[in-house]
Amino acid sequence: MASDGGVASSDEQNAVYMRLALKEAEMALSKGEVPVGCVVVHKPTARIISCGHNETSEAFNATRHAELVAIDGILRAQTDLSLLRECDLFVTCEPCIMCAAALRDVKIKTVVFGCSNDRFGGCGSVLSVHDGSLPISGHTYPCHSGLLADEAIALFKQFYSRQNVKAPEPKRRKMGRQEQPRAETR
Amino acid sequence: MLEVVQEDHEFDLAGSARLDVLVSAIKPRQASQVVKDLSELLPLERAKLNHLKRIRSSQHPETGRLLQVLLSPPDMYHALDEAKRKEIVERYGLEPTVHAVPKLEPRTRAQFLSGGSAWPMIFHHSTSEEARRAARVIPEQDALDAIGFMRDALVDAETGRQQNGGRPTVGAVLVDPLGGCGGRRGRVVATASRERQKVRDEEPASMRDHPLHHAVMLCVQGVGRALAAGSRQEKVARKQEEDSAGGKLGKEREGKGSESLCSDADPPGGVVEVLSPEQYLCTGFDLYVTREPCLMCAMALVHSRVRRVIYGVRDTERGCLGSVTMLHTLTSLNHNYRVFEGVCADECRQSLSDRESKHAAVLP
Ligand SMILES: [Zn+2]
Ligand SMILES: [Zn+2]
Repeated sequence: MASDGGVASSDEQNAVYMRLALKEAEMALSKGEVPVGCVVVHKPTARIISCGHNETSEAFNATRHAELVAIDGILRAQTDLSLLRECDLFVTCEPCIMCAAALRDVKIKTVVFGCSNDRFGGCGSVLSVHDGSLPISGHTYPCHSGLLADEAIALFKQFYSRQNVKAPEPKRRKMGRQEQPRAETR
Repeated sequence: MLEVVQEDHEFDLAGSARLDVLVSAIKPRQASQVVKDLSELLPLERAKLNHLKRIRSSQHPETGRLLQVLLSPPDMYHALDEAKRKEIVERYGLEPTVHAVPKLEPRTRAQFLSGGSAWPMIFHHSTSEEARRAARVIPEQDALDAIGFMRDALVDAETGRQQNGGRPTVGAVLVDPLGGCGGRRGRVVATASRERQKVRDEEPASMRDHPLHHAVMLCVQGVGRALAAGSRQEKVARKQEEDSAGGKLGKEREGKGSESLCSDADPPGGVVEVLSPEQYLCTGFDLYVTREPCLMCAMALVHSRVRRVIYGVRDTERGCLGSVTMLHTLTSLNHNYRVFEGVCADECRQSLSDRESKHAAVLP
């Protein structure tokens, strides 16, 4: 299970990063995408090296989650992914099982997320991929949950109320519902 | 070709299948009100217990009919707002005690019966393993088709090896089983090697050896690319119709869109470049891959809603569709696909072997 605490020394700074991730999520929302956003912070230099938001509809590809988009951004900027060993990921919603596994592969240092992802969460909700509970060898990472979770949930609520308003549009079928957390999570 | 399914076994209520929850006796006339209040205060789905009924009715040898209500796991109960908890305890005279119930949803009749002795459960026949097992016999023609498409995945693996300087590479193809033409049932809609080439041709060089560009991820990306192309084409066509102000023309075109997916423009034996935007993600498609997918790829295929995954050989260290775990049997996910193994296993093993014995590991 994702643990709370352990980030006390830089709570305020972390909230600043999460607000930037929320800004990314808002951008997704404005494009009609599931509102999830993230930023990757290089801890030693306090530099944001990448960011991303969900773009599954735009790409017609259900794997274009914020986390994977941000990882692509690092590579596109010619940065070596090995830098991720010194980076924290701030993401508005718990990484799904796919992203949680990908984040092990690229050896992220720490993940901080907002709301839980009851349907697909890979950092404690459905599976605990991050911590090595599964017998898969390789890098693991700690997770901290709940940072500005209410704000992340508020964005989801906006998204789903908009979806319902324009419901009779057969082609845009629940595109990217994969990251829907239940509003009652916390 | 064997389906990868979970073993049928009873719930081990003394061990891993056990979960302690709080239950309490209630008066029969309170039952419906209790159920209503608890569904708001302590919803079963939040405790991941929607496979359990809220009320248990049993015969007590001395006191007659006994009605019990399932509250929640202890931590959830104690996390409840103090005032609210007190209110409900007093209203119904609750006396919570610990009781062991089955932690997981029953998947077989055996589990349903063994778990039901501890607490009444809900059994969804349609998703039950028994129902799936009944449909588990693959028609012979499907098995023959599968060999054909696994050969395509093997060709993709060979192309991948060439792309990767001789390093053994997993091969994968996505197949639309209903889109066949030229006497073949089904057609390949994306291959890993073609998408790998696209990345090399169109993306910056730093994207070249992307550690997450596993064969499966590349195939999914290939479908996305073809769908995006289809969507662009449709927009252009619609624009042209609007420009020529032909309401009639519009209707005509609509009919065309739903025609056979096969077109003369598709290269013979090749892969399609454009998919109709009517197609939603990879719904109904089958993925053929020479080696069992890892967790990331297995979940990507859940998100993409594929119909079946067929792999050649297992990956005992990282494979998550049979080896390390069975992601496809996790019924809490919104989509489940069927998994088959052992198609062209020897050829796949051969394809994954390091002929020059100089490469560190297979490229996933
Ligand atoms: Zn994800
Ligand atoms: Zn993989």
